[in-house]
Amino acid sequence: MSNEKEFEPVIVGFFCNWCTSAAADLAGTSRLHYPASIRPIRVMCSSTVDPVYLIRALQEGADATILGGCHPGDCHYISGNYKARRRVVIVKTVLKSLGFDDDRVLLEWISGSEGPKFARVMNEYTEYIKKKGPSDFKYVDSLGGE
Amino acid sequence: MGKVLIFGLSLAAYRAAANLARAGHKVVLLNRGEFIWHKFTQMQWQQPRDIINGYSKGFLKQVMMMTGNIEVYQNSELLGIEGQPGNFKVKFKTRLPSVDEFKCIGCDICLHKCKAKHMPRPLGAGLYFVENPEECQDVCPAGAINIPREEEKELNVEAVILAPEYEPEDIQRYVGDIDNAISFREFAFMLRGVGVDKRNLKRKDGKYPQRLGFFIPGGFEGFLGSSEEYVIVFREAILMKEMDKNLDVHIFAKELRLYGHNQMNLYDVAISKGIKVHLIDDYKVSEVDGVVKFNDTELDLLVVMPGQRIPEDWEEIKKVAGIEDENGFAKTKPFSFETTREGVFAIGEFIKPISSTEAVYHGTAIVPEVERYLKPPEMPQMPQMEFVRDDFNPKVGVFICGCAAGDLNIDVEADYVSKKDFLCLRAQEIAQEIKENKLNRVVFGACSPSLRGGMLEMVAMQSGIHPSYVELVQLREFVSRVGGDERKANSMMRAAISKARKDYFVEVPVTATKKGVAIIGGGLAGLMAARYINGRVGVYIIAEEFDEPHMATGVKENTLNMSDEELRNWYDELKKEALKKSWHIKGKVESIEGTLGNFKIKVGEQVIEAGVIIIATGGEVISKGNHIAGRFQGKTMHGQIGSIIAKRKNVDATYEFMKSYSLLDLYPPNAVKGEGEPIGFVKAREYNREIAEILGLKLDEDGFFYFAQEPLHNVERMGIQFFIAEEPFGGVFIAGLAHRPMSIEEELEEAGFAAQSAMFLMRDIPSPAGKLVSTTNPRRCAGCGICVDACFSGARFIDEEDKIAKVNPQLCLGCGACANVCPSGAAVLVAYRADHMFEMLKEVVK
Repeated sequence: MSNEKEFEPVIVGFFCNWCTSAAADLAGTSRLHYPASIRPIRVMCSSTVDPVYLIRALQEGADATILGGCHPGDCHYISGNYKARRRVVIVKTVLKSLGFDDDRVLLEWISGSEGPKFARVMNEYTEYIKKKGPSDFKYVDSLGGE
Repeated sequence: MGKVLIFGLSLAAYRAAANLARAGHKVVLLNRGEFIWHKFTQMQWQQPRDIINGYSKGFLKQVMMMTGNIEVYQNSELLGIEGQPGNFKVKFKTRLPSVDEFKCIGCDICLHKCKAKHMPRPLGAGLYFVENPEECQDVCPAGAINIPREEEKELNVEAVILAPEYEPEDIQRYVGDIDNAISFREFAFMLRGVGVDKRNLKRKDGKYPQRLGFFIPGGFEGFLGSSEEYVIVFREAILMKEMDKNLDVHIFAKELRLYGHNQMNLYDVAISKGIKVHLIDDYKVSEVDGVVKFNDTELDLLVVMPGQRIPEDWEEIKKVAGIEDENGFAKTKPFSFETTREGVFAIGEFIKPISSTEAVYHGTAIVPEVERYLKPPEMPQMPQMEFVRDDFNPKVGVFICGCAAGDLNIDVEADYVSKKDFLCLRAQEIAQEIKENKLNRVVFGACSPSLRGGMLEMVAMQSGIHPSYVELVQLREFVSRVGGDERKANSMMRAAISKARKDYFVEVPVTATKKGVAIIGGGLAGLMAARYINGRVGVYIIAEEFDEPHMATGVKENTLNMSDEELRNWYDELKKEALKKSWHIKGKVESIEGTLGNFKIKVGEQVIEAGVIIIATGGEVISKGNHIAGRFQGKTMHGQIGSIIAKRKNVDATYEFMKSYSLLDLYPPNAVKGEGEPIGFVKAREYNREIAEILGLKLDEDGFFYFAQEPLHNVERMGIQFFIAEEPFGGVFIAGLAHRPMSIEEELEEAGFAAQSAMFLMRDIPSPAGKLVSTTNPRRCAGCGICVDACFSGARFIDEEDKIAKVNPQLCLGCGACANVCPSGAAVLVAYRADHMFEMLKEVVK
């Protein structure tokens, strides 16, 4: 599916409704360009994102996933972002111990007014994943699924 | 339906406008700027990175759209107020802005066709300015372009609230002309939007400062401020230290005004992180070769947190409104927001230097005060809608907005695909097409839900499609405006369509609220709250005895601008009024069952049923205490009182007394460190512990209540303000000395906040989570209770009879944390299930 000339990664972004999605909105109204490889999915809270979603995204063919939440202390649901943080640590540990690249899951705190930061993070992360090359995770089809 | 005029848009005014509109009154907002936010609020001057900034405006816009009760006049100037309360005639000057920010849909056409400028802003389309509106009026499809014309208007209103904005002091007043000294606002702006990152912190010469100093001139001549300055600086210093461990961070202050709830904890955290806090008696600032020398400490960058200045235009406002002045601020009647003129109120930084928490309190507590002069409120009646309900035969219609898609060619498969320019302006056409094609699912490819995307959901609703059958894809902000390609747009659209096919109908439950408020304890704030609520719903005061006013202020002597006799009379009157229509139940609370909307409180033989609980247990006063030792052990000494009494009685104040509100900074008492007679401080009641145990609330080290939250560094500031609705408090409000030591005036603010918040909850309301309300599948639930622990708002509980988890929909906010933790898949958000996500993931990666 990827182009022979240049590798175009697909990065699934789970962005919380109150902070990171608002930042993505602001990046949009500010016309800050970032790579089209980012595929945003709006979730209510970063704590909605089950570790399975992150792994399933990689399994379905994404080269990386990024989870965006509110800064510590700013969570609309008080402690949702702390829960997300704990989960991401676990997902990374699991990926690593299974021999996969744990850098393909990224957790970032981006608040609603941080449109420029949003664009910067998306640019930097896409660059980073581009250098890494395609994920080998998507070729693993024995991890459950249908 | 009453009509209130609000002049100025301080943080308190935002809240007041939204709260009055929600309470069912018409609000006329006179904004002094070209657009909302043109004139900065206190928060924007002090901490432009604070999340409250965005949400205040977002909240206002949301209420505006929902209730239709708010009218805004931009560029306005108050010319005069005539008449009596209940029938004021207000004259004002106003000028339409070139682009109406409430009509603008952000389509960018004016940017291409007119001489126009754009300024991006969070939550919305940003701001547009057209230089040649005369030639450009027909260009705008939404009709948002106006020809700015100044006009004079006259309106009849029943009450007036004055809330003009804050202005900060010039930092040169404190440190003179120094190159590497910047105001806190400039400092915060370096990191605003781009994130807290070493790369973004720079001096004027572009170098990263290795030694960073913060200076708060509180207590020095010419400083007017509250605890806010201290909280912001301490939090920021801690954040800087967390960003870079090697950064040398210093805080210079004469005193620590961290007298809010548990705010002293910030000091402890700062020390434990290695921040150097210097308590100074005097200071000298100089600069040599780019190195700032503050007393003996060398710094690369000095950040000064200025206090408040009294803006010059306030003089004029006070004159026009015909109200009296007190130290440059608006004078208010004792224990009231009413100015010396009846029916004219003042809130926010217009009456005293305040913190943003108090601004929020003001904005809520003003409602019952103003309502005295208003006609009874009118609640909008929602029309009964009949929705299409078909979970198994999805017929998906896709509507793509040309304005959002831009040049992208979107090619998706669905039962019906329609492309139109400006979906938001074509509600009729959309409704017709939905009906004609018998669609039961709708996917919109449009813009942000904080802009017009949210409106499209309403459009679908009007044609009988329930929100749980509607999906929105943000083609504009997420794709076309950020350099997205067709592949991205198509994959996102296809993901939404596949989700829509799996959507189930979600019945949003409406909970009946037990109409009644129980006030626990005999604190002064409880009486105040009872007086506000009396006559509207039933009030039960559960108390063995009532606090005397001097007890409640936390000092032995009367510190107010009134004689002891006047205070006594005021108190007797308050007590009489509070108890006139409420039931006084003598005794102690033995047990409390139930949740928001349905509490059962057992007192002796009686069981009281109420929808909301207000805790006002009051506090005890210790007249002798070792203040200085106490302060550094995190004890909370009373704020406002100390320096007031010091001023009135000509006492030499200790530093303790100086932890104060700064009205008295105008006349700083003769302060000597460690000297002076201690006046007394407030101790939390033992009773608090019992109540906390019964209700499962958290107490701080000193025994004062927290609102049920997990505040950052245990300092309750952000949490309270961040909530725009009352439900997250879980139907329990803390007021007065049960919460922290405070003066009668502050108690009034908290009591008003609790009372009005309780009133907002006295309705049978649909779940605030809407279609995202959580449910339990009873066949799968094992009753393990993990979801109960995961739910931050306490919406989930284990049913005693069935032994399975159930949901109180009135408390559920739809975050989905329960669905995530449930090991058996019993807890679900029907509108956002795992299989939805799996379907979407399949499509979105293509």
